[in-house]
Amino acid sequence: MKEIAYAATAEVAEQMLSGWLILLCAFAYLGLLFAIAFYADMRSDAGRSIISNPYIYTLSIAVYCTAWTFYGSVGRAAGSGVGFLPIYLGPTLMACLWWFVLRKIVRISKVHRITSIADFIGSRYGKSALVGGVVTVIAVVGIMPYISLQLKAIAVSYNVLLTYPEIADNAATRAFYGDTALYVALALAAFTILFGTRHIDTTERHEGMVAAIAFESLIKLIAFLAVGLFVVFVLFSGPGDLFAKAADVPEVAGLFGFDAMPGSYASWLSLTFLAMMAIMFLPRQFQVLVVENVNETHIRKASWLFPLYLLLINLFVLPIAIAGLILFPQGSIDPDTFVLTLPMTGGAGSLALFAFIGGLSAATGMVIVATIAISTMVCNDLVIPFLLRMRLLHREDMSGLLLAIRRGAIIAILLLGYLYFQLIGESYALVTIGLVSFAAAAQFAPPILIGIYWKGASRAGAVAGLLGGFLVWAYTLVVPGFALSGWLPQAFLEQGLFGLSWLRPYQLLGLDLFDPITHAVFWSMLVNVGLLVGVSLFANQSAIERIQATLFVDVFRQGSQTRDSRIWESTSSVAEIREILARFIGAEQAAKAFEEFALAQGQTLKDEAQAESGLVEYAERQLAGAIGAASARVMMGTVVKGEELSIEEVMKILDETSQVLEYSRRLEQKSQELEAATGKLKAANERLKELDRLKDDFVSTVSHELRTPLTSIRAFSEILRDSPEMPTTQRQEFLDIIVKENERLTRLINEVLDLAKIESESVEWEMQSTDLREAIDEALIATQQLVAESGTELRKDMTNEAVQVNVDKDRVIQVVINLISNAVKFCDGDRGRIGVRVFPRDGMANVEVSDNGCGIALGEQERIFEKFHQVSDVQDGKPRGSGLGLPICRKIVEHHGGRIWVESELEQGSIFKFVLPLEGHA
Amino acid sequence: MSNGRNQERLIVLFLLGVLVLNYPLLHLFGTGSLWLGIPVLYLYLFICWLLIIVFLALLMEARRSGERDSLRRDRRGG
Repeated sequence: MKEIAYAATAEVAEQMLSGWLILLCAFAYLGLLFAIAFYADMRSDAGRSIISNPYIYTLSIAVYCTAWTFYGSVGRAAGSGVGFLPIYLGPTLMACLWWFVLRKIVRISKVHRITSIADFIGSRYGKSALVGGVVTVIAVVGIMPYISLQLKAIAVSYNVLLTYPEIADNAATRAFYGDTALYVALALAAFTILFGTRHIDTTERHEGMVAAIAFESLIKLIAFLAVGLFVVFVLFSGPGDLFAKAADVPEVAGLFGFDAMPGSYASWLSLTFLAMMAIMFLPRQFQVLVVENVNETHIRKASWLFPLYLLLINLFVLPIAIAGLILFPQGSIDPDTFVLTLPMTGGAGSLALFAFIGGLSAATGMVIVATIAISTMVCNDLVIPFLLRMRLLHREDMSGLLLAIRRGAIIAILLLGYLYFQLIGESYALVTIGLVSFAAAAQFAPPILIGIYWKGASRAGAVAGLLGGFLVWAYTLVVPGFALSGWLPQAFLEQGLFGLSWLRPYQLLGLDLFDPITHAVFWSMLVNVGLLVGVSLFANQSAIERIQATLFVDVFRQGSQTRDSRIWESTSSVAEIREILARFIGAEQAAKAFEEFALAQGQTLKDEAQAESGLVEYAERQLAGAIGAASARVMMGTVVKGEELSIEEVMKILDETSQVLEYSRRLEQKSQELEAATGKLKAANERLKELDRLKDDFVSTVSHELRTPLTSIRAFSEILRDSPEMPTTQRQEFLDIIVKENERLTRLINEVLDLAKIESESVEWEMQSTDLREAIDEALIATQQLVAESGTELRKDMTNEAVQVNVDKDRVIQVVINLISNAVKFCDGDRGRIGVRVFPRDGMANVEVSDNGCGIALGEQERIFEKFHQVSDVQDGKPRGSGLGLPICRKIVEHHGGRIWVESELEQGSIFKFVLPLEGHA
Repeated sequence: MSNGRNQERLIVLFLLGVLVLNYPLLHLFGTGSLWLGIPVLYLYLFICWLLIIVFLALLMEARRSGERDSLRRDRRGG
């Protein structure tokens, strides 16, 4: 194997890559990045964002693939076969859940103007500066190994390339590592400062940076694929050839199975878990996934495109690793550099340079995003709260100070990374260093994931969990690193702290089942989750904690309108509030923000007016965008002079906003129902009153009518009783009167009962097809005697055709009898003439009963059909009828769908007419 | 297609992914033998991975077209 390598290098010796050429390429590339970022920022300022699409979003997430992926995966694969894969399978699995989990986090962050992961966790636990600070410390310490990893990668790759065509091993290059790495660190710091801290923005979004890292993701993917294709198809003739050759080398063939994986399945599972958490909760992933997210619907496409990106960039990892192991003699070349050394072996110097640029992309992308994210956290969640509490902030313009703090933080972070690299870097491979950082980022998972689904998670629990998990992490992963590098005695690893064997950092409490990473993940997660849940179950939440918990957990239930949670009762003026804002984000931006608020609220803001709580809250959110939620809260708290509302009041406001609509909707419905019911009741009441009145009238009339005959019966009976010597003729006469009055009484009672029956509709009508002429003939026969006795003359005039109607025959006969007996009553004895006519016309059967009696005055003609209305006899004033006959007739006729009326003139007689619908015309 | 059903499908896809990419199913393919000249373990892992991505894409994009349909319906209705 060695021969191949040296033969190849000898061939291309004249293509040697000089240091200045590599540096030129590197700086040209960084210059290009800067141009892209500058262009994207310009477009963003012009309102035409180039990053607002799911593809750029996906590529920006691919900042996950760092130098670790680019160089370290191959190194890991060379040692453990598929052992590098969980780091990329985990994010794929997590992407299945992005639509629920990530979307919720993005929504919360947009509503609350979250600027970093520390801000998110701090804000969730009552806008707590303590929680934010703890998260920041963990992030800074935890990310240190990761940044040092990138520095190491750039330095090593530069040195490897520099010695081309001689393929340098580690030992040969170690001498000038340090300097290279330091220069790399400083160059990256300068570049990041130019990139990420040009101005303070209330949204804390960096469009230029996103565009640049998306471009970097594209470059590193293409570079890696190019190297992979070169190795498989140029150095070997396809994958079949490669694997066949590998199968001949026993130690390489061992990588084909799962047995090469150290720590076996437990390690596989814990690495998958770590990667699942890291893809969401590494500070830089949180930055690109959440803070830089333009539109939450981009998550949809990203959640399958990003796993696809991961698959592509990992496709050639194993072939490259195996090819390296075949071509280079065991141990002569660090597998972490195969991506560079293989193209060099094949004589492809320019491909090696391209691979170097790809690796540079991977490393710089990570460093830029991570340092920007962390510097924001350090500034917003560590330095500013501290300065606020120390009351050291009294300068007019704060935005300059903010920028200075961030720039300082960036330099400090990179130098710390360099320091870690110098102290520890040598003792670990790239991947192991990265995993230490992953395990630190995983500490953020419990407070976030539990915090956005469980309102009970409290600030005390979060602090306890974070600190506990962090300490376990540091003890089981970081401290041993110092021991391995010789800064601490080796015995510490083997015998534990103070020689206590249960404190051995790799076998805590004697647990020796796992590899160091799995071991650390297990214990730190157990402590973290256990403390978070356990302490929360017993801790009391303050008002602001409960408010924030509710706002976070129920974020999808709140419309954007209900965000007005009015937590401050302010006594400050509008001008004062604007001044605070101006101090941090500049007067111009502050004025603009206030204008927007006024526009949105549709009101003008007067400087001297008292700032309403909505405005204070708005200002606090703007401020949160610049200095973080916790700092903004403290800041507002010192200036606003207002009272914090009590928990009851705030909860009341929250409840109101969510329930008021529901209540009013229900109330409206109820009142409508009530109105309808009231209307019905009113109508029913009117009807009842009317019936009551009718009943009263009826009763009084009936009793009057009954009393008249009763009185006369009683009077004549008493006379008869008291005068036994009365002559027989007179006695006979009186008895006749009594009988007559009795008959009248009986008739009256019958009619009353009859009418009552008809009115209550309890009569059973026996409808049948009847020839009206027959019915009238029967009526005439029934009244024959009456007519004959009165001496009246009766004439009938009936058509020859049948007049068929569908009626209750007996009732119709009753009507006709009534009308004839009325006519007889009002006719003047012998001179009386009564006529009965029946004829059909216009689909109606017409019946007329005429007389030549005294007639009815016009005003009376309608009233005679009313109950108990009697036309008084002009001569003797005595009524001649019961007053119920005609009302009964009307009821009967109307029931059959007909009509009854009278035409009459005084002294000229009257004609009673009624019509019934003919059969077939009803 | 209802949103709720698709959410259930996503969760099941996640659980299936955890299942096929872990012990003991993984153990069946971890023997180190070759198939078509390529180690079976590599083939198995990358094919599972690809399948997860395909299903994820189908679920995500199907939901989108479903939403579009309902949007269109709304617009027509309104």
